[in-house]
Amino acid sequence: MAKKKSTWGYVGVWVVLVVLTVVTWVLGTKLKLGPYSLPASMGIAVVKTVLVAMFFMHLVEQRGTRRVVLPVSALFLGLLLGLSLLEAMTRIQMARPNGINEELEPKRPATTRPVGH
Amino acid sequence: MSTETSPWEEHFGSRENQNKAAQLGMWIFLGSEVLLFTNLFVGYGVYRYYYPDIFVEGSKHLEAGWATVQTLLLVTSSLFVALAVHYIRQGRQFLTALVLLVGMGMGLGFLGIKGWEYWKHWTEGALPGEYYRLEELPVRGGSLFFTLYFLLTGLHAVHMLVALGLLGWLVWGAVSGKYTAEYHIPVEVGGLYWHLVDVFWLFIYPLLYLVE
Amino acid sequence: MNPSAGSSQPAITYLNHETTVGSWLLTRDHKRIGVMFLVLVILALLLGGVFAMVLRIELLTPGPTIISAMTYNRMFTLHGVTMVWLFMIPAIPSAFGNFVLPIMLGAKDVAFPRLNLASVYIYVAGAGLTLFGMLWSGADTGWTFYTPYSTTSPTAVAPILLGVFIIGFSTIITGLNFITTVHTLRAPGMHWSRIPLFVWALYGTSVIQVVATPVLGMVLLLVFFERVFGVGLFDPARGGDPVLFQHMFWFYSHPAVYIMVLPAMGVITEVVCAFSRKNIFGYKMIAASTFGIAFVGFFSWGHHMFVSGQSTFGSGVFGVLSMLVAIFTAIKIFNWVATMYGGSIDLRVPLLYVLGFIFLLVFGGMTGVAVATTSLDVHWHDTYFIVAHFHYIMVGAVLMAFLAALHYWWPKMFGRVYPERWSFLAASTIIFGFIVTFLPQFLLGNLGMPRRYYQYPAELQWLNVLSTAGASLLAFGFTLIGVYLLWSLRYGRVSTANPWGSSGYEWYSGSPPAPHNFTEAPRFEREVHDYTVPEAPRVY
Repeated sequence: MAKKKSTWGYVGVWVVLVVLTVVTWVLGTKLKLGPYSLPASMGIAVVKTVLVAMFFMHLVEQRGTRRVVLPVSALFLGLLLGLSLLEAMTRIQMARPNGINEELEPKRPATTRPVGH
Repeated sequence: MSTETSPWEEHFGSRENQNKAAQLGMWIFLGSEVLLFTNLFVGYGVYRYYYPDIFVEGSKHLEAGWATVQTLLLVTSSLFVALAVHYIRQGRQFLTALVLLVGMGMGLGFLGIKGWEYWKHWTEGALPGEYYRLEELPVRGGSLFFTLYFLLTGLHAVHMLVALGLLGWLVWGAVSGKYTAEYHIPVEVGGLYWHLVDVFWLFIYPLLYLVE
Repeated sequence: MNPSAGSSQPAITYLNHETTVGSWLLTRDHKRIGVMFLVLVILALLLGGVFAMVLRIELLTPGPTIISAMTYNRMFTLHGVTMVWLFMIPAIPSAFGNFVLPIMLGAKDVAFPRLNLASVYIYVAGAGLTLFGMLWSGADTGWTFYTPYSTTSPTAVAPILLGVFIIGFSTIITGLNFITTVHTLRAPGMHWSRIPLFVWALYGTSVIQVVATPVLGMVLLLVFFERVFGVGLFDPARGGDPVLFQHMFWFYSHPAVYIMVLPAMGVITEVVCAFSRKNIFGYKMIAASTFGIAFVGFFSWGHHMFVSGQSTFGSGVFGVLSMLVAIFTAIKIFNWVATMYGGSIDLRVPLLYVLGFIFLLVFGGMTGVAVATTSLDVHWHDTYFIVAHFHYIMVGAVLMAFLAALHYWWPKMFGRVYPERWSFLAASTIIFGFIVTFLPQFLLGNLGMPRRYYQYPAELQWLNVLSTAGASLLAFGFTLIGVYLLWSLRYGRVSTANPWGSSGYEWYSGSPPAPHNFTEAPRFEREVHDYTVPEAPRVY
């Protein structure tokens, strides 16, 4: 190897990752973001993933197909997640697992209790 | 079967091509690993949509502070594994083995904390499926949260064990001088696997421990 | 035909350079691995075929015929499991793909030969576990393992689930190997625009295999956990959602249809060119439609769940997206027909299978558009109409292409030619038998006969008898093929290097090929299937 790369680049990425981890923790436990907490924490996780992939996994050095494999697989994860959620959200109340508020047992008058009770 | 002394395989044509093929093969494998975790993330998404409040309550039963320590451990171990690749590219075998061992130590620390957490859940009764005995949360939804918790962290822990074995094998290879500045495909590719296991945790951590 | 081609056959081939049992079991040669897979999937086909015959014999009469209702439930499950996971998914990619793909690219082997060998043993282990489950007490859930029944069924579902989970890894490895091989091991001169369409088809298949198979593996593992450890993730009593299982299951199992059909389409493309003596019509369109099918196929899984409690909005979206598949399939069919048009047709047995394939594909595809229509599917769902539809499009297509490939590449693999007349008889019997078996089932379904039922009203008997008669023809055809192919291994006419005069790249090697495929580095100077040059390509 002709030129010796310094290790400080890696350490710099690591510092950013640590800071982001602490930020996630503070956001999640100290500052209550409510509905924004999920997008915020997921956004930070994506940024961290990109940093790890690009620099620790040396994706910056790779070209072509090797670069797109991981994003493509994430896309398919999103596909299953997205369409399943979309379907779950548009379902009628009765078809949801949490949808039935009353017992499904038929309500019989007391005189017709099933035998054996 | 020929006895190989050279790690370079002839059917690739060139060394550069063998590097390329190994990288591509590993990235494809990593892609399939992402899809292996997909079901659990989708299950998480759908059930969190159905039982939002129970997920918030369930998350409070987990140790967010310790999980942050675990995250820091993994992120730091990733740094050391990245350094291992950096050093072996310069042919410094001893330094490579050393940083890999440090990374492995942190991975073991991670699993130690995980084991302690599991033990706590065991005593508390926050267990998946039919073993669920936690009384603060209803079985409907509550047991699903803990099922997903154990499946996600459990699958992740299994991957950690595999990755630790892989790193151990790399340490052995580096110490015995198998890897040089020219040939170090296993270190590069094995490192990728470790980082991916780390990346899974980056998502599992906020999803399970920081629900609100 | 090229009379001089025979002289350049390699004397040392992959078959005779080492002959010990160990040299086969531990081989890393992609050709030997392909042959091993071929033997394995044919055994699976035989097993699944026996199950199918038992089913058809049982359905000869409206009441009980030869087996009990419980055995019947096990039989259709085992028929489905064996045919889908042990035969159709690995059939063309693992057997013929392994054999032909590296040769077509001018490579010496696949990228990771050791992994390739491992894929054989993973398949054997998974298949062994599945067989163990079958022999233990079978399973009666149907090949779809729907929850909650699959988590409560008293039969041996667990080993079968685990077996299928393991087989999945064999598929992933094959896909990984193919993608890497296409990217890194193309010979000089093999540009992206020259890659044979069979390879493109395998490439598209490999992408699906790598992306979708882990999802199936994991969901089956979840059911396994639910059965063995009571980890109910889909259990309604704990607030779980059984429909979620169906989402995860069909996210793989719908694209799995394209894992089966895309390589079949690739085979058809090769055979059409070779026996029409014409370059393919619309190379780019066929390659693009392969990826179109692979991609759109991922958006259509919900059409299996129209009556499962899925939202009507979801059903509408999935229904429309499903119909898009027909567009890409139609592009291919038009291109094959256009290739044959004006070609110098040489009607050999592989081309006969192609004609059968196109008929079945059109018929199955059109009924597919029909059942993708939500309102119609509510009526046809879980009737014999669906059974007939998917047997036409998936089984028919795969079987036709499998047999076309088997005959087309038989001389390539074993250096012998099969007997022409017998093979014509068998091919006509099989195509005719297939239509007779499944055409009545469309009518049965339309009359309302549900699938997986043990008994049926007496008015439906004549259609069932017709269907069983067709199945017997199929059994006869397959027996005939088995007999004459085994016979030809020893007594068949010795093949020349290129018995069809094909310009496909796989014929640049000898028949059978040399241990490392080529005796000297091949030069790909002509386009694939270029028949403007009269003489057959040189054998390297």
